[in-house]
Amino acid sequence: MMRATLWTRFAPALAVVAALSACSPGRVARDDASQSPREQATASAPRTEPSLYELDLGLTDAAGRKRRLEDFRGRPLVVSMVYTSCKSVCPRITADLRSLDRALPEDLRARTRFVLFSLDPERDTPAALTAFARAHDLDSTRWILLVSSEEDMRTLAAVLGVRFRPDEGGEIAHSAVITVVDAEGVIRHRQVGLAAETGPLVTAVRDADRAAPAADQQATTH
Amino acid sequence: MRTHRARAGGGAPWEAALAALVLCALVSSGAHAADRVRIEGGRYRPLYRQPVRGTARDTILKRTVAMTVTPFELDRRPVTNGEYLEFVRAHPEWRRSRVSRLFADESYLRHWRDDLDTGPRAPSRSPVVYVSWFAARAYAASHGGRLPMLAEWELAAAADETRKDASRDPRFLAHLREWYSRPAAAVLPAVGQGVPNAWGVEDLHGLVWEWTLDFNSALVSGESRADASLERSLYCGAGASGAADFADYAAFMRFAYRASLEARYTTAQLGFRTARSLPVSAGATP
Repeated sequence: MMRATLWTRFAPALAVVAALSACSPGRVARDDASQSPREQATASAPRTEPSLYELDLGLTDAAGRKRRLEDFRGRPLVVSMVYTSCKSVCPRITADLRSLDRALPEDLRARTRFVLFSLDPERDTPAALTAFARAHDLDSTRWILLVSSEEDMRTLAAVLGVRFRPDEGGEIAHSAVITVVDAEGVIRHRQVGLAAETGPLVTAVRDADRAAPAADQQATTH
Repeated sequence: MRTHRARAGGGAPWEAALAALVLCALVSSGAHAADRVRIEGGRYRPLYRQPVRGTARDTILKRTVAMTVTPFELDRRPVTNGEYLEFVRAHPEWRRSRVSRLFADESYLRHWRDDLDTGPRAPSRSPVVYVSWFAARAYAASHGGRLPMLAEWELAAAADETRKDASRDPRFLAHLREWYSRPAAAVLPAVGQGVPNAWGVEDLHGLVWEWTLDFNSALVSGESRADASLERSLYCGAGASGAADFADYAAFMRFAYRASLEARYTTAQLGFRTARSLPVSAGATP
């Protein structure tokens, strides 16, 4: 078939390098069009769209209760990955999520759940999650903090496209990714990087909510 | 760091002999038994620099920090189409027609003729490619293993035919560069045709790229912390001289390649092999 040369083989890598030259701290980098969930959805139109609810993960919440992802089916979700001993970016991600929360219209706000998965299964005990929720004044009826095994954490990070690397000092360098998921677990929007404004996320949650009644036709109309 | 359950090494000699017999029987009958080589571990110096607290208060320096790799086992060869076929036979959810798009993109196993027929473009002894990270991980788990960590893979791959660390030898590096610039064969050759490296591992270079468990640890863009220039410092001109081993162009290319991957991607050049942790006691360091 095709004969890949150095250049074709490294095309993705070169694209990264190219993207890199344009990057600056704090810039919001939305996925490029070829990788956006919506593109993926249309590309695989005949299939059912991939859903987070295909994952079978063992989760524990801040109260120490066993949870399944399934528990959240039927609602729009705003999902991110953090770790509670993080001093730099996790509080900022959380702050971004809180401004999003405040910006949602009241009825939508009541339906939406904010789910934070831990990147640090070793240290994020339910007590640590509780302390984090308290420190950030998170309403426990709508904000759910979850920790899993390391294996399940890797699965989640892979599905959500969160890159991470524990460093020697106990910090975990990671990308800030906020994902909006619809009622059926389909990823509707990804924001990579910290944002200056909540507008696009509010729209995404609204869209995810509209796609809610499990009907595939509806999911493809926007 | 997660510890992987592994069988303790100690046992009666006859047990080892029996195990060897069983292994031979399995191999000769064509069934796949993981054929792994013990890698003694050592120090691996990553390409990237990371923030390190300086001796003076509140100073942060950017340095490459050598990592300790503890002993582990690594497959002698990459996983082949034949071996992967057995896996999809036993695990229908990983067949081409059934795999979830959450776990593999549209080109998953595209070079196979059918779900259970590898066909002429995927010879049974050639490394399997067009597999996603999720698929590779599931295969490894089904064989009592896991994917190698990036540091483990790089440590094993730093060996040439005689030395366990040839990563500073210009001739070795030139050899790798030569592979990187060679056109890839339309149909990949069989595994195990080269010379094993000093660890006894084959085909780490020259055949396919390989998944690692933490392929997504390369933070190129979207790095979230204040030291967001972590990787940019590696790529951009001014910072490039700060990379540990810029001469190691091959390692740099692997770094960039991994940074470009997503877990569901599948490509014509990307395969994998499995690894296994060893019990900590077995890895007694001097």
